[in-house]
Amino acid sequence: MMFRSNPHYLEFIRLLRELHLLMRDGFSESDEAEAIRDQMDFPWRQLSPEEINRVDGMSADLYTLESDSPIQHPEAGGINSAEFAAEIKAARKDGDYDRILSLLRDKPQFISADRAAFLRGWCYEQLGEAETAELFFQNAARLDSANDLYDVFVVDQPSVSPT
Amino acid sequence: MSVAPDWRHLPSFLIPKRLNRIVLKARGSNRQHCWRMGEGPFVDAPINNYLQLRLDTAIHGFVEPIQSLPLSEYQTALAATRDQWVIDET
Repeated sequence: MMFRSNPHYLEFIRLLRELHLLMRDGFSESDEAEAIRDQMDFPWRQLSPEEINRVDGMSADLYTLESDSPIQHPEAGGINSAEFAAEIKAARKDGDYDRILSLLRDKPQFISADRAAFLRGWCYEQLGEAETAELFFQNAARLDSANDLYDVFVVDQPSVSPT
Repeated sequence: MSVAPDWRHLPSFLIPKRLNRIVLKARGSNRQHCWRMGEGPFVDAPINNYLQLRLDTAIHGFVEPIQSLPLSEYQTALAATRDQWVIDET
């Protein structure tokens, strides 16, 4: 496991975020997107299995910033399962933020979109992924603008409104 | 040529986005397809007289020449397997 001390990992997630923004804005089939995909090949080959799991999860999580995400949460209601809450709590106790992210991915029906976005931001921040965390904090604040806690965690105002 | 035992194990940027309901990470172009060759186990083995499958990990391998040969001959050998590849996106 290396993660942020591995320059290839840093390069890969930089490219992943760039690709995400292009895809979000409808340029998935553009030459620019294809060029980024080509650039992702070399750093991907330098990643450990743990790093690949992390970036694969991040790729899936970034889709939740879009309205047609394959991961769909309820619009409201917070956490609606005591069992799910207990699982999150146990992972939190172990400091296992990848596990929390995985739970949000695998059991989206048990947590509302705004809470899930905030938790994703918090987990990525704990994992040292500040740029990625910011995207999720912005999304949480957008999903529930009345929640002043979410707004407090937004460092940079988004330059482009998420779709 | 790099290959995997299952298209779900391919890197995210090679799996077409349209498949992200099956594999959440998918970030590839929808102009691409996932292809499969053969039904056998994913193990070191000859493919024909010119090519072999060599694994470097359990989820990644190479379809490579059995012995050193010019690039053009390798490409011809790969092209000769074309009819054995089928789209597999289920």
